[in-house]
Amino acid sequence: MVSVQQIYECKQHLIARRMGNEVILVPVRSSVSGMSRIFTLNEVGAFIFDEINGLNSASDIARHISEAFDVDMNTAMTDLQDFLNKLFAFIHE
Amino acid sequence: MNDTGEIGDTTTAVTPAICCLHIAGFRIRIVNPDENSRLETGYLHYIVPKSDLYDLELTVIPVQKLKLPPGIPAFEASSPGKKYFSIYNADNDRILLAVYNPNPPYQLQQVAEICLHDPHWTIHTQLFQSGLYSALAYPLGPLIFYHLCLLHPAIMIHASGVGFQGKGRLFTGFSGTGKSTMAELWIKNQAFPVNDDRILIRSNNGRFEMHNTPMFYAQHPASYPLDAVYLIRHNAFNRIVPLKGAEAVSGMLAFCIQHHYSRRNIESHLEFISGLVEKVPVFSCGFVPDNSIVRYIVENGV
Repeated sequence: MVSVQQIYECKQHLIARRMGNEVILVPVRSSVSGMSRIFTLNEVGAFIFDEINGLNSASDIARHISEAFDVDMNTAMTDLQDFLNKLFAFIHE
Repeated sequence: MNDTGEIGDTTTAVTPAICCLHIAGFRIRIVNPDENSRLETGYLHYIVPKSDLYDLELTVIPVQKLKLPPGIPAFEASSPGKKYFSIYNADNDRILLAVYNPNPPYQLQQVAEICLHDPHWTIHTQLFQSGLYSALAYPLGPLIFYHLCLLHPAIMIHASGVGFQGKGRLFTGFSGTGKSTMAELWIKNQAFPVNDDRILIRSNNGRFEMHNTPMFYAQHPASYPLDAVYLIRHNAFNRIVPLKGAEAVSGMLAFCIQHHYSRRNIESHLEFISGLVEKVPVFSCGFVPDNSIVRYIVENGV
């Protein structure tokens, strides 16, 4: 499973641009491989991305998701882990 | 250049010591040490009378034996068995661009010093046994245009573009999705062709314009205002869907010519495209590759 800390360390290699409730992520790359791939975060994904700041633990973030989007903690934790896994895969393609 | 490392048949334009080009509205002044400089055929119609006014000045230094810049490149454009170019000092305002002959054995053919806060760049270019040299030999030329776009509100994109009845339309998508086919369909309907493969978009006082750039064949400069962008793919029927916000930006950015070796480049591209999609409608476009798409877009799109 991908950790919050792993994603936090990857953020330095991503350029994020907010557009309304969404965020576009573009990776800094050292080769042409995957150059055209861009990741778009929906409102929940953008929220989680902002929460990954080197200070919040996974539990903290899940609790914040639960409060902001009115979902139970189990759902929030599942959504968070799913987000971390997908973003990690995108960054390391 | 041909694969023997000498200037090949595609290089035909003899240029004076000071050679000026007008490309996509940019005035490019090339300062050569003598009149042994040559330009590829594609630049022929972009040569303009000599002028002291320029947006970019390139000083050309022919070299008997080019050397790679020191250090490890921050970025390498290559595929298995083939090298295109490498970037050194990527995080500085002054980068070094090492460019290789596209034919085996992929010899180093230029090293360009590009300054991103100063429009005075230097090209060290391979001097051939004939005493001739070709400073903008492919692929450096398009790389120069790319980096010039970083100094201005501009971007390059894999796209075709046409002007028709006062509306400029740009069609972009992955290789094989029909950019050239789409352009041909419009041209058969008397549209004005800008280009069928690569477009340079500029912002000019809030209005966007599309331009062609020198290709491997001779063509005249062409420009047209940009009124709509279509992200195209083949489809069983014609259909366009407006795109907004992040979807429009990410959809269009994916087809821009991008060298994401530095945050600066990415931020520049995002800034430009974000501004563009606020002013220019962007559509997802599934199309049938026949004349019906022209009528469909005229009646239903922009």
